[in-house]
Amino acid sequence: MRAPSRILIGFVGVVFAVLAFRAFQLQILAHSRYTSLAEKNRVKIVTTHAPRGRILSADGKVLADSRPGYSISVLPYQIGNPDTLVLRLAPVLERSEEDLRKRIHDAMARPLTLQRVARDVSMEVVSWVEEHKLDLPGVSVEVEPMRRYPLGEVLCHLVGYVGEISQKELDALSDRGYKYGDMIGETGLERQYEEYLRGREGLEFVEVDARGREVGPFPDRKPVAASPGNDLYLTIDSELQMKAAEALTNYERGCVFGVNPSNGEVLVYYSKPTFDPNLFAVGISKEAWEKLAKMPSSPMWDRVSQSAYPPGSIYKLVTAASALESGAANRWTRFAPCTGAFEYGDRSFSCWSVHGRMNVVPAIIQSCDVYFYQAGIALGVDRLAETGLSLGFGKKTGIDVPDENSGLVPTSKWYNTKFGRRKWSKGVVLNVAIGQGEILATAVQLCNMASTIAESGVRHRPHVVSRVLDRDGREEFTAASERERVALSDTTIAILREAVYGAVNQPRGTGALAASLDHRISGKTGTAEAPPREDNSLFVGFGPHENPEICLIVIVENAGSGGSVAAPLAGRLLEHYLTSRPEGAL
Amino acid sequence: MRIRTITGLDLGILVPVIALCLLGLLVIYSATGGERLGSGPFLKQIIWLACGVIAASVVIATPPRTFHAFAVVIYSISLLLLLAVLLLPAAGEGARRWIHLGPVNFQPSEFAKFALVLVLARVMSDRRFRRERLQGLILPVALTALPFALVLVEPDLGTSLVFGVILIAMLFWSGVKGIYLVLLVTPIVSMVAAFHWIPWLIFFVILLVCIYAFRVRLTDAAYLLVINPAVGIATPLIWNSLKTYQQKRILGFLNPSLDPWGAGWHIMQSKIAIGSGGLLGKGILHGTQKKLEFLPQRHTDFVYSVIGEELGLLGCIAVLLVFYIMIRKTISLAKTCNNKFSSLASIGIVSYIAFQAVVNVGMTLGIMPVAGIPLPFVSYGGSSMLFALVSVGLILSIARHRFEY
Repeated sequence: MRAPSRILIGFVGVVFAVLAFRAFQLQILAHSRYTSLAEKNRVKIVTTHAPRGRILSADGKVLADSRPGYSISVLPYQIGNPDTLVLRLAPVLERSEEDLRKRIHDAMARPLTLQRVARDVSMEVVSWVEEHKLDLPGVSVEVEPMRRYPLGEVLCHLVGYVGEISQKELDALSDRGYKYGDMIGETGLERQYEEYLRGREGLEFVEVDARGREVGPFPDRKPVAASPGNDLYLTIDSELQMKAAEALTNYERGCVFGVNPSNGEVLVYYSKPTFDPNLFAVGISKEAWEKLAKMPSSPMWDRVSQSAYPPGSIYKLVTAASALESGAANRWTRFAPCTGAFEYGDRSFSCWSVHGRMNVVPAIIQSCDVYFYQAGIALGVDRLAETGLSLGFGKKTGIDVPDENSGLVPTSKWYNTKFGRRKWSKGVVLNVAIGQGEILATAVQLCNMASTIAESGVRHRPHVVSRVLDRDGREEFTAASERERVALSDTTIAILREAVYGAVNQPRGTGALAASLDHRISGKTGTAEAPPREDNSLFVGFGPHENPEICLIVIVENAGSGGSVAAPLAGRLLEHYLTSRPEGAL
Repeated sequence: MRIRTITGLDLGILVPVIALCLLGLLVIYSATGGERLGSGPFLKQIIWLACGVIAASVVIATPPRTFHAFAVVIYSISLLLLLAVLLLPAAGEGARRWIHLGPVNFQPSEFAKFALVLVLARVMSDRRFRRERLQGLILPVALTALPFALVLVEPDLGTSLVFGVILIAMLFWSGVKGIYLVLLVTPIVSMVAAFHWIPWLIFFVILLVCIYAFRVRLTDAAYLLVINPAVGIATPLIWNSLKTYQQKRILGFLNPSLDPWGAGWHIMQSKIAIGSGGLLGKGILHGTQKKLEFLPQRHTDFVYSVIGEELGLLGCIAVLLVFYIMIRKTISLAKTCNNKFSSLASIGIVSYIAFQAVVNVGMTLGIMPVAGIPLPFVSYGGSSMLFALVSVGLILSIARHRFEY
């Protein structure tokens, strides 16, 4: 092994000699040049701001953009005594001394970096600072883009908001070029599409002398041009969105969500109560944040995709599909008649009315609980869960918003882990079969299921962003159509479609208040118990029946039955959309 | 070969390592502010150093045959840990390189380097290893490819390259024919060259000339002539079928240091720091560049820049010299080892220590790309310090047992 060891030692020797020579070159041959560079203290980096991308609705309304604003910044190593500065600045900025002191103290950790202490200050503050410039060493006024949300509360949950990057995010993202004081998408699309929306700051390398005076551009470094963020184009119909907000005016909590069943494009996405995202964009005050966070109605919560509700009778469509597919029932199977209640084990399960003997179609139309108790018993909890899962419940739909809730489809395995083996009654399936008990679903999942029925068994992944364009109009991202056929037979689909049409258009249908004179609307009501408060009211529907263009769900919390509250609201929204579209009425 | 020892420890290896560790402490102390002792990196580094010394002592007391016996187990554990890094929820959206254990962050890729050396040494010292046949290379290549791929997707291109270097060095040492090493490297060259037809054509002509000149065996030549054009044709096809944003993502993935600070800003600052150091430096604690935070990562990847600024050319050359002595001694040791496993393991370890030292120093001097590789024994970093010392422990153990078969 003599030869390889000589080759290796020789090779390492040569490489080390090259490194040593390079050190010699820098430290001896070019020493004076680098010394003068170092002594002049010399390069200052000036960042040029790049605006964040805009967010636009399908009909071209601007939902988020940037406007210029003034910030007050400090360069800590120049400020001298921080306490004097705090005393001078706090009253002008109308900030508490404690708050400002903390801010400036934090900034001292990076003595040479220009750091913001107040964002979006008024013209009066700017002129005051400029006037007192000589007494305020290290303090400067910067112009920078501020985020603005023109529609404000109407689309706050979907669009989300930006905020100053936190230390935790900074640690995780530092290798992506984020730095202290940057704005970053915190929720909603602002967060989901951060990578596309964020602008990349440009850099200019300026040579400065020992006193910090700019001498000129630094010869060895070319400036890096700023590149603005990309624009998001949404599928949202801003007019329908406004109508949805209007529809819920008289109710405190609820949500509206709608898609185009033929491609999964989300048309409306509204959650109530709302908040003003513009408060966050310029740095929300501590008091305002605490007030929002502590409100019992949790306005920050996105009820469309993050809340999982008991679906109520809407879930009877799943139970019906499961029974028809598994052969537990067919179109004409009639179970024991509804007498207003049903005995199972030692318990009595009630129905909201007395329906008599009926098959699956009138059972859906009149939403008879007793029919579905018996269908549930015939199916068992696992077969029912299987259909639920195949129709998209219990898992994320994949909609392009962050933190989507998966909901819950209980199986016998789930009950075993939750309550222990044999410690739960078979009676749980009666509740699940009518969408009560442990089953939980999001508005997105419920709407997705209905849209699958509307589209005769084809499911599309719902999406909000249709494409992303850069400032020159080049396409950076296009939403891919993701469709799949669910495992339901044509017969089952036909029966379900017949039933949801009847539920709206027959006199005894529970969704009759959603009916329209001009359009053929189908749908299913849901009334979910929410003790101790009043029931949650749900309605999911689509139209036109033959060739659906919109499928929409309305959920109103603690408002009453699905047929009396959500159905008329949803009916008016569907009618409005179908009438206002370019093709017009029937 | 004569080896001076205390209680059987090879001083030619031990003394340089101790010197580097102490220098590292001094520079970290200086780079992180000096006066604020007891807080932050300096104290942590002392704790890690102590842990490393204890671990290394245990390794020194263990005969190399134990590592031979457990090589596969150690390697499997390292793969599981690398998988865990990818599967455990990430702290953020950035690269996933650490496992967080309470206050301690553990970097499994450091452990994996050590584990790969052991398993390769075991495989290549096995009687069944057929270095004269191309098929013999399949197992070592596969064993290297696993950690390589797992680290690459973290993503950490710099560290994953270290695995490749370990493989090439150990194959070379085991006496595999030079042409096989060429076989391993050419498809990668072909892939890079394929982005433009002129460099690829030049590459291919050189390949043909080499095949002819070195009288390559027919089967090997066939392999070369099939795989290289195939890679060359496939690369641009696949690349062009990607959308712009996908291409951008891959570029960012291959080089996460392409930062908006304009790649090169760090290097510029590092060169100013080193260049202004001159012959004797500005004296420890007296550097100006590091104090003003012009120099980023000055106690981790750019620790050599602080050495250059504060200790000057003498300090720079002393560090290189100390590394060179340690590397040379280890290669000599590998040469005199009677046991093939020990010999290969020494070369594997020294190859990655040497590679990291060269890439790191080369980066701070502005002649190598920014790869995020620390300077062994000197840079601040728990896992890298721990496993560098464990690796040296193994070399010292090998030195104690070098006459055993």
